[in-house]
Amino acid sequence: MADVNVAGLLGEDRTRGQLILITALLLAVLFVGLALVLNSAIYVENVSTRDSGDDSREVLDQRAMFAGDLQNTIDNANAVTNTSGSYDEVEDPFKRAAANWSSSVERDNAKTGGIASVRVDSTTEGAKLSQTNSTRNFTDGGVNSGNPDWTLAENVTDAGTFQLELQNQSLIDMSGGAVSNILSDTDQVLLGGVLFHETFHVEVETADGDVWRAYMFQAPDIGDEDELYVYTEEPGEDILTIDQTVSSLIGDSCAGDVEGGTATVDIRNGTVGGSPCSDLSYYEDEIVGTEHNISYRNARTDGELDEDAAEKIIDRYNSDGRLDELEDGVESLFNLLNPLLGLLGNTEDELIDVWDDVGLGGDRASGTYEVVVDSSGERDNFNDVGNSDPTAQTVVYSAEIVTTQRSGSASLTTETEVRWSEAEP
Amino acid sequence: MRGQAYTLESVIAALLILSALVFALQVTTVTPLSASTSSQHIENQQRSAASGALTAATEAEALKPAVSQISSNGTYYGEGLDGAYVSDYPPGEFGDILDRTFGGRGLAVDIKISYQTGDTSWQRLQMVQRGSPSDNAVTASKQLTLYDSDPIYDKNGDKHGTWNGTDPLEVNDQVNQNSDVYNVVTVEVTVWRM
Repeated sequence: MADVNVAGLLGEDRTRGQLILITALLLAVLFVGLALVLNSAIYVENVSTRDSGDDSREVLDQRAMFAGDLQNTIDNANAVTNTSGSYDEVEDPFKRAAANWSSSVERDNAKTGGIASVRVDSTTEGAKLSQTNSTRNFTDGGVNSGNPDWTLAENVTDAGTFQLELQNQSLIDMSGGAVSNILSDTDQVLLGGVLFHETFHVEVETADGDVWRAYMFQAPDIGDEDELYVYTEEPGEDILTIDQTVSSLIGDSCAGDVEGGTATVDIRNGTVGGSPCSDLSYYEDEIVGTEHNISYRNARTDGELDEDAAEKIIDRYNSDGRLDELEDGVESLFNLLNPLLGLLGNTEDELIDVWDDVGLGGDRASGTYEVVVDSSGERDNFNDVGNSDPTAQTVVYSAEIVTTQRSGSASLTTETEVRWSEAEP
Repeated sequence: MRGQAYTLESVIAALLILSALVFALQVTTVTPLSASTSSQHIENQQRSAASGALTAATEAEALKPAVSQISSNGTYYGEGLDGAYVSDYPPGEFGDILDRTFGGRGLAVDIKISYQTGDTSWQRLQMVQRGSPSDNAVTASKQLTLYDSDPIYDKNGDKHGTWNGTDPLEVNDQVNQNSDVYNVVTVEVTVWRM
């Protein structure tokens, strides 16, 4: 039995020795397995965080940079030339500068192995029509100087900048002045629309014959004295037949805050005194893109009502069945203003006379404005740059460029329109 | 005898574990994305920061005045060789932008202005020099167009002339003489971790 013990003893020892080996082997396999798992995790993280598509982003960034650089070239050409002469005087320097710039850019890109070429396809002539003297009225200059009703530009497709900064005190006072000293409330009903006949307004006429107008006035007694009001008339409406009170007209107008005596009316961006005016956005929504003419009307009025307008007013109230009201109102005003005269027989003549007596003639607006159009403008109505207001400057309005880029795996050819920075709305 | 056999087996077992451990450690990959001061993520980040600083400077219209603050013989107003700024950033808003982006983060910046002098030749002008870039440096660049009528500034930031008729950064190319473009230069910003 002792042998068996010894044999047993030997057997256990041998098993224990093999156990150590087996454990060691298992541990080794465990370590290798762990390393494998760790490697897969690292590999997956590496692959998933790889930056792909960098080339296309670079190409797009570069194209935006080209547009920005070319806009700077247009700005520089317009600023340095600063002339009212022919378009070639501005276009030539711009084209030469653009050609030099694009060849430099091509060589720079070739250094790093990319292809980039920029070509100017065509340019659009424009004009910057502006007045910088804020005390001047809005009559025209140039050959026909002094006209109160005149056209700024014809065949305009988009006025990139279209803003007027008006002296509030120079606008017609819808609620006070000569008118309110005499009128009672009832009479204001009759004359609210008529007063617009005397108001300065911007008139835009499209190729179809549609006319859109924006009237600018102040109303310190009924409205707020620190506000400038803008009333727009869409095609088809007739301002002379409005029969609202002045206060409801003010309610229908856009009001803008007056600061330092002036307020800015931005027709292209649809704001008055900084606040948005949805009526004005008619220009951007409906008119931009079609051919239209831009004019100023009633820059100065003589305070007289013509027969056609008087007839129209009388017809309107007649058809409304309110002719008696009109007649009574006009007669009482006429008596007030002409106490010694008897009544005239004709309501129309009385209306014209009363209007004349109320004495609304004079400048109807003064201030500064800037209108950048993509046509040459009516040069007869403007003075040259450097002379007195208003002036017209010949500018490059926009340029069509074709950019071709190839970099790594991305290639892009596009046509873009780049505008002068002052022609951007 | 038996004792020696046991010892041998234990030693072999130990060796087996040890070699497995060493093998496992050696086989673990260290990729460019592993966390270290030279990881690819950090390089991408620095490149974005440099590119962003250049874009911000262009938008703030601070890049052109900084490049234009140059003396008439083509050197900047720093203390280093050829007028490069060595101990701080260039004066003005461009230097402020660089300071805000890279200052106090252990990053060093080199700026070079590269311009064309002829049909196929380029030259480089050092604007900021803070040492030699390391192996893990990144570069971002931006093109800038200089016009004849753009002003150049002196040491105090006052205008003292325009690019037209000066020597620095000039292209000796006949073609450029008849247009308003003076030259198209590339501003290269190199960033690395100190």
